[in-house]
Amino acid sequence: MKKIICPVCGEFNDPIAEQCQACNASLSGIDPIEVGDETGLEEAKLEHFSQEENDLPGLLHALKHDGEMDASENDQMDQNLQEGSNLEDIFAEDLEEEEEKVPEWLNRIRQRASEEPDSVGEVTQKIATALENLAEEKSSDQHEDFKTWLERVRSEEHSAETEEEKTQEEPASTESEEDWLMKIRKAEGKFPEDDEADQGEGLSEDQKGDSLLQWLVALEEERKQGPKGAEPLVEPGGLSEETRPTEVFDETEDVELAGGGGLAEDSDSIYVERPSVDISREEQLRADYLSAVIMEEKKAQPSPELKSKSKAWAVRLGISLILIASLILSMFLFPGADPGLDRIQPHNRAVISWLEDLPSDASVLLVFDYQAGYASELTLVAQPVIASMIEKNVELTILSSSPSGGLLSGRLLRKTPGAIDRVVMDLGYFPVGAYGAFNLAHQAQEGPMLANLPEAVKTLPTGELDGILILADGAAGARAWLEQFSILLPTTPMHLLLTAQAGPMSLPYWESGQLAGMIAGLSEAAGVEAVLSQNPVIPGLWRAHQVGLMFFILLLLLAVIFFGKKQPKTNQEGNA
Amino acid sequence: MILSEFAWGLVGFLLTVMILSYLIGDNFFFRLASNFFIGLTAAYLLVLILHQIIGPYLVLPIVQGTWSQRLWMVIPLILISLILISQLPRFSRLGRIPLAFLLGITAALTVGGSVFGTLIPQFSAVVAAFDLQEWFMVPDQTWLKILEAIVMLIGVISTLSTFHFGRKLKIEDEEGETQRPAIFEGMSKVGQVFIGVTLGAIFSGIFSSSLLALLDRLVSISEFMAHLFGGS
Repeated sequence: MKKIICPVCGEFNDPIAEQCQACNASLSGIDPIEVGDETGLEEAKLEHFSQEENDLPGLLHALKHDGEMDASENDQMDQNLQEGSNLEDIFAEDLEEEEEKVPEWLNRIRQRASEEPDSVGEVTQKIATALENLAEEKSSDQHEDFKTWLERVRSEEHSAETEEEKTQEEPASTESEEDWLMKIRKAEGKFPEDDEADQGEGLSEDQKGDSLLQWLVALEEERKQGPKGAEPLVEPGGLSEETRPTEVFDETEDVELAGGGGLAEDSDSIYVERPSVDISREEQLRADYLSAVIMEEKKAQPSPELKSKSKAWAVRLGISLILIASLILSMFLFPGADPGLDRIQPHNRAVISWLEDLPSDASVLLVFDYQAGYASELTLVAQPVIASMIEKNVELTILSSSPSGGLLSGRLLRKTPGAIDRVVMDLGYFPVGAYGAFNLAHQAQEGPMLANLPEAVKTLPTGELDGILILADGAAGARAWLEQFSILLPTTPMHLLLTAQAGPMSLPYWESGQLAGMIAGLSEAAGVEAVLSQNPVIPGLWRAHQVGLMFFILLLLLAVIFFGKKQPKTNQEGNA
Repeated sequence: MILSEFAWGLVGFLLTVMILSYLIGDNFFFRLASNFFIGLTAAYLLVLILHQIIGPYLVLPIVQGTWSQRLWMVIPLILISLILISQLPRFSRLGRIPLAFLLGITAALTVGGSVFGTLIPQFSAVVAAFDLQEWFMVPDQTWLKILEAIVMLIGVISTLSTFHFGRKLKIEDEEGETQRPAIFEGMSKVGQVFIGVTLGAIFSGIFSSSLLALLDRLVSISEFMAHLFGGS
């Protein structure tokens, strides 16, 4: 049967009641709890605490040992207490046992930290030091605390026995209710005002949470509990959450005294009890360690990388300005440098020979497969070749396999007088080079076609092509066209006009005879232009290009000298 | 200077400066210029595909073609519909059909092209390098031809060995499980030299191409400045 317990007077109310039937206090927001008969519940509570009272010293001792002490040890403890044996001896033994229970991994960390101070991180060192301090402080403080505490427990035990006799004789009264609630508070560490001074005086500063470990534990608990205001609703007479001496019972968190989650009633104050969590000491230590690591990681620290980044942009800007200045100066100071005719390679000479042998009114397909960023380089490479073809009235068919190819082809052809007029067909854009090449070559080959297909929108001009020029900024793009055309149109001579970066990977195709010729980059284009063009433009850029390349080489060397050595050292550190 | 030339020159100058401002780190002007280029490219590509692909290859045959030609257009229409429907989470599996179709065609073209357009011709070139008639055709270059053929053969074998990731057949110890046979291990060291030289050549080409792009920008900006202040 579910009931709502009034937080003010403790009266049991119906689960649907909105006000307390005894004191008319508001019950909104309070969840009903499962209870049996009201009288039975109270008796059960009283009985429960009566039993515990009989063995209160044993219970507290068990709490201290994390609930792991066996019954024989409990009996020994009781006997020692009864015989009035030396308390300091007992707790000295407890501390030794406690040290034995320290997990092996923590022992290893401690041992290594003591032997090699630099081998562990700062966080681990702090934790190890904090744990040792805590153990030392406990050995001194707890002995003093337990002396006064046990005296008080004995006196309370004596008075509790007399009260218990009264309780057994008489039905549950208001006074007895207050009494067991007081005991709950004592067990939970919420001592009444009278005991506050005694308990507070007995605590050292570290026990109040000044040590690193306790501070972290408290911080983690606070985070788990949420806002502070949710715990003690009203605390007129008790200690606040931060100052109450829970540290005395720091090893007793796994014991549930009054059934977690309920409401505890007191005439002066109301507390919302925290739900109890059963954790072992090792788990607690691991959690503390994890919390410490997380806190340390979250802690704002000056990053050396940020410092280096803040300087990096200045270095970058400085180097770039020097490069730009040297390029501009070399362009103005050495405008007409001679690249030299000895730069003409065999595959370049093959292009020149093909142009010289090209009949007038020949038909050539131009494939544009490059991005706008490489337009300047490919313009320098292709312009003398296109100018030579225009001189021979070659008919041009153009297509592109890059989105901007249509615009770039127009830009390139407009730079050569009369070239635009020689374009007989613009096949437009083919999204995938391999598809376009296969489609066009297959149609030109007049291979078998499916019946009643729609007429091809884009076809190569009728008759055999006299050559195919592929302008590409990368080897992959050029290869897609080259592979398909070399299979399907093996007799058509193919030439590549490439950027410098695409040259090395395309050269084997010339070696294998699949290409009739190729020109790659400014250095090869300079030689071809010197042969084909009357007004060469490359010499104006030649010296600046050389200066820029030397600058890059110098930068690479400096980077290798100053930064190349750091890498192995970092690896060694990582391996260590 | 014509007004339009001035306007476009100014736009080019400003965009170049915005992009170069990345030298001092990521900033608003760099992002503005980058977004401008991305948006422009996306819009241009959309128009280009509509105008040059969707229009002539799909719409035109449906509008102007015969009934049999229109019937052929059902296939691409179904595939397009499947792609569109697959955007709904419930029908996402339907998108696999057109993608599988595309993947199959691409694989067929690529594999066919690679085998018949690259692998076989390159293999033939390596074999042809050992043609005795070629060696003795020019008496002065005989030894050069022989050396070239040997280097080419070593380069091919060692480079292929570098990409051999098999292990020993007989495993003697735990290390043997991850070790290649000794002959492949040795050849791969040689292959790494060839690969390094090739990548170095490509890298220098990238430097050269980038430098020319920068030079082109500097030339165009200096020309714009000369026109602006020179008044020509």
